[in-house]
Amino acid sequence: MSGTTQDVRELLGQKYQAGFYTDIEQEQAPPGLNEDTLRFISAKKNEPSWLLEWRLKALERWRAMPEPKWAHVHYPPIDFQAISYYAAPKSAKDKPQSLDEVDPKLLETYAKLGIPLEEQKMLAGVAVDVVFDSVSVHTTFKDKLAAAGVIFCSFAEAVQKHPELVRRYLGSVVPVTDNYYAALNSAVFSDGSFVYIPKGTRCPMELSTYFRINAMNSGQFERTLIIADEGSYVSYLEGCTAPMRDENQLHAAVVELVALERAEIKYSTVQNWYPGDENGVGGIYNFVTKRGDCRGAHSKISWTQVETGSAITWKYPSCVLRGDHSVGEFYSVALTNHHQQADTGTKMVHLGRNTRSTIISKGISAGRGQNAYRGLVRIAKSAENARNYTQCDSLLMGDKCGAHTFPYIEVKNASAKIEHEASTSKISDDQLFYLRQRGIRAEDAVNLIVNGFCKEVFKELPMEFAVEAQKLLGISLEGAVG
Amino acid sequence: MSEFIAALERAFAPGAASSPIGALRRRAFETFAARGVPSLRDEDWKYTDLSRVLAAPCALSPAATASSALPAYVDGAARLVFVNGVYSAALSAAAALPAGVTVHRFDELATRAPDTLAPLLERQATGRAGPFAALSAAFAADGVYVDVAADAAPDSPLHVVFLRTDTAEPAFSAPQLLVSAGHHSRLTLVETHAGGAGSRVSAAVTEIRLADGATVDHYRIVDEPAAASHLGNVYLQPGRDAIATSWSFVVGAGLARVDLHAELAAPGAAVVLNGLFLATGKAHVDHHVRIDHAAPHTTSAQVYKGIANDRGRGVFNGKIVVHPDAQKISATQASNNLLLSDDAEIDTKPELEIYADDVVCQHGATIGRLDDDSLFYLRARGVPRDVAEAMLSYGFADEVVAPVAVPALKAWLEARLTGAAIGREDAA
Amino acid sequence: MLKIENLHVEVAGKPVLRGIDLTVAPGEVHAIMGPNGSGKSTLAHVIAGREGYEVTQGSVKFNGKELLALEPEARAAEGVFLAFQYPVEIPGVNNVYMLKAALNGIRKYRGLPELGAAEFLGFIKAKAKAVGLKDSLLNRPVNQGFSGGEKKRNEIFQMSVLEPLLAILDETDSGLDIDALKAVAEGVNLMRSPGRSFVVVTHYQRLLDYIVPDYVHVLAQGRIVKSGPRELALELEARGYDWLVEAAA
Repeated sequence: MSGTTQDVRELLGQKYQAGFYTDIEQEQAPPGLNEDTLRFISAKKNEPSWLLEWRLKALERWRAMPEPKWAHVHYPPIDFQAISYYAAPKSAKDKPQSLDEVDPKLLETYAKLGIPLEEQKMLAGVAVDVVFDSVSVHTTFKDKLAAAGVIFCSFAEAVQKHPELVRRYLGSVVPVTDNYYAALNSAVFSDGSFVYIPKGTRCPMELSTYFRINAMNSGQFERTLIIADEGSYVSYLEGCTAPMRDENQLHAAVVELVALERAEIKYSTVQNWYPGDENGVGGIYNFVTKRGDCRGAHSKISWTQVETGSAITWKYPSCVLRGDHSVGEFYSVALTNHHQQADTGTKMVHLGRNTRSTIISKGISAGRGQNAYRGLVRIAKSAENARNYTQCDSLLMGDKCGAHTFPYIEVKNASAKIEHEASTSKISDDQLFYLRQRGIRAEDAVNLIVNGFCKEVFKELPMEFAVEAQKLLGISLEGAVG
Repeated sequence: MSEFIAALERAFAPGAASSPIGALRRRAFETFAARGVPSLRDEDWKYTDLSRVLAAPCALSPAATASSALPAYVDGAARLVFVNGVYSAALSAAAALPAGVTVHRFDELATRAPDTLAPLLERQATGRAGPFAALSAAFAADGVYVDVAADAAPDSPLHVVFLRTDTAEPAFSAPQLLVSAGHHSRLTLVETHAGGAGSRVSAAVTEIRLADGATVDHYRIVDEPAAASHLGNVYLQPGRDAIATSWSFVVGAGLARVDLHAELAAPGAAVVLNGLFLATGKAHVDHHVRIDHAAPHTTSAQVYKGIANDRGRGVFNGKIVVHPDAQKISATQASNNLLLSDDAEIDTKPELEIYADDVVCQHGATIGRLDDDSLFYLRARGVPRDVAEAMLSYGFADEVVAPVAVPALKAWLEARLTGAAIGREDAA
Repeated sequence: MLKIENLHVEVAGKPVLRGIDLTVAPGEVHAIMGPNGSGKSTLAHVIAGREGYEVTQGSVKFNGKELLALEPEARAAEGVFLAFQYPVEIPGVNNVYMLKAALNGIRKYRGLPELGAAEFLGFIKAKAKAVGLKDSLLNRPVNQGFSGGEKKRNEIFQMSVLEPLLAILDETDSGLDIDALKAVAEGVNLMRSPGRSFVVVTHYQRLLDYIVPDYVHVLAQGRIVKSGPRELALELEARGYDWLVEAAA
């Protein structure tokens, strides 16, 4: 569409709108990774000795593991000794009891991002556990959740108050040795969120955590653990934006979900970390391990993700369908523009009888972006009558980008029924012309088509997240005519 | 070094290092030995374990004249027959070769025109075609180079048959079939790997190069005994506006691995790749397809069907790569699989790697058993269960078998499938 | 309203239109007829601003403004509507949502306030009823899963919502049975008014039984080779195009 080339360049060149940096004094560990680093972190957090031992064992295992090379991404070697593994806002020592006690600069940061805490407190039904760098500084709606018996707190707090739950489930879904970055996280994780939903309880509100990365040279190693006890339900929202920085920042989170009998966990993510500039300088390395264990019969775990940020995304939210009749779902929109790279997808491991999984993946590549779907569907011999449906579609916008599909399908039981469909195409000129003929501006037309392409995923998001997701796609891509 | 490689090295007699062929064979063997036998850790061999079948030492197949029966569909046709890797004038019908088709045997070329033969084997010797193509080039004592003249359009198919005799000891051979189709020529080629009982390993290479506007229909049948390991390698290179169609039918072999690679490097080039395999007993059948769209306006279409029964295991890996600036590409791929037993297994991995934007690429994969409703419908009409299953399995395979344009071959496949699908080999 | 002067258009270096002159006054209905490949659809597309056509000479003025310099959406906002021969399917994009974006885009261009959701919904429901488009189709993705007749009816419905000054119907009759044809024509006739003009592109005269034109033009080999009153269409039906094509060659 030569007539709109100029518009396209301008629109594709949209600056990252959450890009700014707040200057807050940090209490920071010196860069480097060894046993002393772990002892420093553990002591800072006043952890029990079993947890320090766990961290030390993870470090030992990590040292023996090779860095994975199989993903379809390219980046310079990471110097793990140059990273600072602990940073906390100074005010962490005396945790603020109300917003008045919170560093005003921090509140300002959230205001710029459009999520002032005051408003969030009033948002009906949404509790917010804000993670600023590595330490939780604020939680809300605790009373209401406490009345329902729901535990929603920072990971560090859970270690202090609910050590028996943490000890029982930590590492039970993602073992320490699962992969290189999970092992690293296990050694150095600083904080994160912890959720426990008691038997038969429907969590009275959607739980959400806004992650921010804000400290120079401090990797982020969140640890999230969500346990849904028998017959319970929880919807958890995770949203991320990050201030603009030039250095590449490593993020290696681990999220573990456990769903017991008839429990359901819905985990939604909108990820908008700093992707680097138009030339591929800077941006977050997002190497995340997310896995859910459908441990009980009739349990269900549903992952929905909208990935528009990060320089590199390496992420496979997965489900182990252990319980009979358990259900796993994965809905994903991943967008890469400029020099972004994404290698993302899911694993559905069917072990129980009558287990079902659905995978809907939508990849959008623009600029020089490289977008890969990597998925595994494994039907074990024990998984009688397993079902999987997979659909992965890629949309190309521009002749320098790439879209790749690497699905692995392994079936060891004849009663399984597996369907996999994939397509790759560019935005059709016919569709664009049709919409423009009706009076819709080129960039709006592209937006309409892209949002239409992603609709099956957006409809899985909670309402306010769906709106934010559409806005993010608009900002990142509006008018990107192929 | 494994005993398998060590034994081959002892038997290796490449000829004088000063000759182009001797030098090439040495190089090819070094390529293979340096690479070694792939393991499951190798992404390309993730689902196919060679450690058992390529553990024992293997002798070279003895020269033999003992005749094995030719497959029924070959009878009477123009044919070149090799027994244990050596040309058999007695079984061949070379006089009946179609007009415009010239045949050169490797052992003649090696002595008479080594400078013609060496470049033909170069791609294999470099290792670019994988370890077993290199191994094949190292040991290819005899083989055939088929040259089709420009504009030639023979009206009957050419058969090339690689037979093996019964052997008591594990034996190795390296069949080779290289084809060069002149511009605007047309050729139908039927390649068969079959023969007697006994443990054996074949490293077979087929390369078909098509000049501009040429059309080749290639049928490749692997029908070997359960003790055989077939490591096949097919390479297709169509020129501008040329169309290469290649069918892979694997109906027998304990382990069959077929690597197919098509390079579409000229505008208008097209490939159609179809396949059907039956993995019964303990058979393991693996098709690995890679298609490189390196030029604009190129087209590829693939349909692979697999039927796994008993303890059989089927593997399909299809990779379509669209290179930067290769615009206006159409590529489709389907991998459809039928599991007929609880001990059978299917692993499939249809991949797309796309670096251009003006493309329409699609793939689909299905794995399942026979449709219960259809089965019930037939049984309710009075069709016995095993017959109903055979009918439905055949129906499943029909999409790939129906277009076979060599009537005798099609009839043979139909009979073979309706029998084998229900585990009754004798029905063929 | 529409004034086309000496329009020459090439596609991939080949001349397709070779000097078209056409003037359409407000309220008039012009039929463009001609054999396949004569350039009829090209003319419709060039007026609407589709890419892939190179205008080498000439002008297309709409109410005095040069259309050729405008983006497709600006032409739409000026009041040009093209009913497509092959309406495209747009997965995931809701019909109503698309129309709201279109109508408000046009209103904004014209300096009018945008319509609110409730106001808009009431407005289009009435329009849908008028052209006989099923309510269930309103909330489906644009044209997806529509039958051929439903797609064409959807085009007329969209036209009635956007209320253009000039509507170009590109082979709107193709693929329609006689009942669907009548229904579509009825929708068009409802829209006829002294301020609105139509250019009806068609191969067959049967559509013109229901949408009665004021003028008929015959396009052959990129030129208008004959113009006349509506009776010309009947003559073409009886005699075919050959006699005119030969005359043009």
